[in-house]
Amino acid sequence: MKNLIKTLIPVVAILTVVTFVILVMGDNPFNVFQSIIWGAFGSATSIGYTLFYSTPLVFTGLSVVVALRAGLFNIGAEGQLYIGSLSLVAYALMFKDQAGAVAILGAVVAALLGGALWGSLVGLLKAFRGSHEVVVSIMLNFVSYALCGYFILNQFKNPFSQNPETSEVEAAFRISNWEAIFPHAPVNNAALLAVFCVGLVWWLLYRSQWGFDVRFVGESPEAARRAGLPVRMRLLQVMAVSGALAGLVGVNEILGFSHKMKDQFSPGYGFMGIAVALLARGEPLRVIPAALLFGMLQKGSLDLEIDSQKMTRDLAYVIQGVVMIAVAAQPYLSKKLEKRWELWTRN
Amino acid sequence: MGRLLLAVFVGLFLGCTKKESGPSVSSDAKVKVGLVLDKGGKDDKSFNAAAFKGASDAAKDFDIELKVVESPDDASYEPAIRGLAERGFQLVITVGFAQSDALKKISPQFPKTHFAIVDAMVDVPNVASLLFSEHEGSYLVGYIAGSKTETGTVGFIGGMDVDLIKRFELGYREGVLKANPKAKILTNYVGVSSEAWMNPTKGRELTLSQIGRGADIIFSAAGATNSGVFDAVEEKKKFAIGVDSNQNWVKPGRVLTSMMKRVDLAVYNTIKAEKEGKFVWGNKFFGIADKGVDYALDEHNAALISDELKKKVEQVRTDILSGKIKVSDYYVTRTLCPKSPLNCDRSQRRSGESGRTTQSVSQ
Amino acid sequence: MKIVFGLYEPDPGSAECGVYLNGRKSKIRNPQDAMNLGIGMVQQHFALVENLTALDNIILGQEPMKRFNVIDRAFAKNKLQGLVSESLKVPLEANVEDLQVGVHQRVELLKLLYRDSEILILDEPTAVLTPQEIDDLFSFLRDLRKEGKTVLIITHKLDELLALCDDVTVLRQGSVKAQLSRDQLTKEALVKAMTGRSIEKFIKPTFQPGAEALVIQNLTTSAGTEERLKEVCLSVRQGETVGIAGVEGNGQSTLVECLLGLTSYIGHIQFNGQPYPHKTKEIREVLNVGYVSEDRQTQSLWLSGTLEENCAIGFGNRLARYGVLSKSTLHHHAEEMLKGFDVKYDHLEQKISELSGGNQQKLVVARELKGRDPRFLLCCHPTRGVDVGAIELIHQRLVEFQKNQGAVLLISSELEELLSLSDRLLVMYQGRIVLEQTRENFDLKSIGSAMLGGQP
Repeated sequence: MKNLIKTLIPVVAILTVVTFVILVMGDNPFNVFQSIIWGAFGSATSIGYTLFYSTPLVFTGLSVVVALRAGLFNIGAEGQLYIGSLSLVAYALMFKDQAGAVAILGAVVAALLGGALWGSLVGLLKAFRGSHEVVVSIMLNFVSYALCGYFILNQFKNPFSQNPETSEVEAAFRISNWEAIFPHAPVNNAALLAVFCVGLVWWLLYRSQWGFDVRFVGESPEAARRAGLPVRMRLLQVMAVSGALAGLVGVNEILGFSHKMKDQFSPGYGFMGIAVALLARGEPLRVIPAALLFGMLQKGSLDLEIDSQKMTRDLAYVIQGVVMIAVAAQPYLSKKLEKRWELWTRN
Repeated sequence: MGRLLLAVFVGLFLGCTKKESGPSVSSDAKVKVGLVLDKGGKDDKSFNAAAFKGASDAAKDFDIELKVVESPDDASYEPAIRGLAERGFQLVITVGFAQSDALKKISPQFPKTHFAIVDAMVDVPNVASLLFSEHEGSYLVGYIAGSKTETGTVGFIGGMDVDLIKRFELGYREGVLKANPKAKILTNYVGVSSEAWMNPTKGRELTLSQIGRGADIIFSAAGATNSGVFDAVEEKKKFAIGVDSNQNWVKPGRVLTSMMKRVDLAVYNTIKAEKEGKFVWGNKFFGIADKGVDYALDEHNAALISDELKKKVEQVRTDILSGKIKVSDYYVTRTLCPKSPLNCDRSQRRSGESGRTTQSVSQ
Repeated sequence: MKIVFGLYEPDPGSAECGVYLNGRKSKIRNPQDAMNLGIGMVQQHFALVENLTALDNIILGQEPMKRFNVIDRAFAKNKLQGLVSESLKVPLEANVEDLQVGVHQRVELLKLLYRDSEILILDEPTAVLTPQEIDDLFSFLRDLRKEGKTVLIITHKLDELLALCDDVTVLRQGSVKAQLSRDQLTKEALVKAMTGRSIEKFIKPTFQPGAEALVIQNLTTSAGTEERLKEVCLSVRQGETVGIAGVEGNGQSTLVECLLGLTSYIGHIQFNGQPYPHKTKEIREVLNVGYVSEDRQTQSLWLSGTLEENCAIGFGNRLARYGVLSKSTLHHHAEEMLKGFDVKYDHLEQKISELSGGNQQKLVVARELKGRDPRFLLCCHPTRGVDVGAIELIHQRLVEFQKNQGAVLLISSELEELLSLSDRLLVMYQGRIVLEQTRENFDLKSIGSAMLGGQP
């Protein structure tokens, strides 16, 4: 009972604030929520889209989580996912003749390596030059945009299209959609890969010596240094792993959906990954529900824009913001509430 | 935390238990029209704004229900188009070539819905492709620039470096050379990504650089970036040529003319046809014959275009229509210098050589 | 105490529970309430703004105002002058960062007096002071008592209690174990109350030291480091404990960092005749140097980790199989290691932060001595902030280690500890070794004056 109240009160608080915002905007909150939920889960196709939007958020969320556990704030997942995608598409276009599992496996490895390379640049500068990872990774984001622009338009440009995008990858590189369950929706096997990665990251962090070191370094850096841990090496490795995870976004986007890399295809998955990771409080297993929440809002808000006269999709950002605040305030709130509850039950 | 999220889902679901089926198709007979704008959004004062204006005008004139959706990123074209089609909109108009992939995928899934796309060809039996002969309009303003230049050097600033804008450039080049065979033409593109449409700072820098190299008239086909170009020509007392909408009023006296591309007209006409039950799928071209593309002449630039020049331009228009003047179309030629390769600088020749003919758009 | 000062809220208990002040139950929800009731507290870690003057620090939060919100510093000074006795002189205009630790404490005390506090709470006030400074502080506290103020002092040093207090309350594991008034106050009674048993006075047996283990010659660090070392020479033999005394901040931490490979230095260090490695990893894992840090919470422990995890620190390579650290391995390792060290815990997956300081420290010593089985132990403040029982145990383990021909370099701020454990004692002052005495001729007076920079 106590737990139920503890859980419900933040939810009620979130709903109240959002309802208030909607009322101020002059719309009917009931219709708005209905539209968002229906948009996200109303049909098999909608659910498929929601899952499709959640998949990259799982990757970037994990990416930020891993870095976070080592005490690093990886704000560069956006750049890492672009470089990962670029490597993937470069591999797929340069080694066209591959077939079967080798093709897809090779492309996935290329994405991992590309992301890892971009992440480890941050790690190198952080570990050996002491540069702040936030500054470095923000700046590398811009470098990655420019690099992708150059390669997409000059090396791999699709001659059949005016869009800034690469040629399509061969059929062997495409991974299957879940057409049978979610007709017309782009959700694909990359979602399985995402779930696998969640398990893998959990295992790495909590069961391996490497994860032990990483968490130790992240939470007690000074003690780790004095215990003779290879702190710099771990920071470098963490950033490489973090980047590699972000790079996997390309698997979902390119191998599973568009089959080509469009310039600036990401609507900010890397940055949303930060919100996902914070919502998950750095726990890999919680990344899945957090990513689903954000994926739901992304899909649902689009339908909201169509259905509602007054609300735009920006409401999704309002909801995201309120949820983040509620999460940040939760320890404080629940402590207060617990005390109230105790007093109340005693009297 | 997991519990919290779960509760959010459950809570939101409970709020919706009354709903038994998806949003139902409204029963009234109003024609429902959806407009999916490109990234710039309806306030870009340029391309998307023109589409929005056409749709709004139509909504005023006819009894239709209009829904405008903006797409902030590539990933939202598909669900937006699908969302409108699912909700029983009879006509869905998509703006910009970037949406062609999404439309190609979705339009066959809704064979009873009518779709239209601006600036791209989608060959599906329920899609109308609204295309413009930008090269012809550009030829006209090029001719004006070639006639008016005093330095013998004119400039061209393109937004994003894509075939569509090269089409503008090629028509402009030929127009300039027609009026002044010895003219030198400077070319710059703002960028390679969609950011190029909204970068006035870089537009201004490129303009100043072209003026520094001797250009006195600059045609800028760069969406919202144009405002930077206009600022620069005002500062240096040179002339600019606007694009898409009639932009003569932006800096009166400094904008020589504008190459109007009547996206508003195309959208308006498509809605009108739908309303009257006359929707036709396939390619629909807007050229100088129906004033789908044209040069702008109004009180802001009347003093700049002499009657004599006007007469000459009208003659050129007639010649194009009669086939006496053949304006090269970049979509066909795939090179920026089909007639006199020697006048091209090297970089442009290179880009021309590697091109190939994929979409032949012929008159 | 933190409840009295309003930093923590008490759990709601029955109606009679609570803080009573002059017979009335008072509600203290935050420090502001406490101050309004005349309760003031000096925390163990001072809360001063380093780059403000002493005066500004004192009046911070209760600035007297002239018109137009201008701070009336002259008024504040006058008021302070009335309060300040000779024993509590503070240069009011100096920046706090330029003052010594002992003076910081006086500034904190003045802060309370300026706010007209009637009850003063001091948490471990002598931890950072030299013997002379402690004497000054005590005479000042006695003056306050004469003026009718109430002084509440929290300490784990028995001598201080005996020297100062009228009433002593012994707390152990969250409950009151004894309340002793002045006439009942003896060392034996106190120890009994604190540990639950009586202990005999600890006398260290003497051992015959072996060959030289650690030899440091002309160790000098570059000018950039904060606590610079200047030509430090010392040696530790097998089976010998060498103590380093000195006021904190005179180069001890830098010396430790050099020996851990964290700071670069000029000079030579040898261990058993071999050059001493420069990399932390080699020092800790190959040479197997044991290290008890001066601040266990940040330098030795993984505070948010479990007991098991803390026991595994430094043994990752030994415990992992193909990179996997299995739960059962960690569990067995921790269980084995903590045997004989009397660490009290509920279960091994408990967070280490839930243990008391004494138990945490016992775990660190167990890890560095028993788990590691080193030949050389770098031991900093091994009993800082630790209860009497733990002190006894840690001292015993250190002596056992020495008996097995282990070499110990002991750095401490507790002279008593140094005197009872060291075979030789060095005094560090401003980065130099200024005094060396062997056990037979320890002289408290010359050691004390050497710590303060005087001629021995």
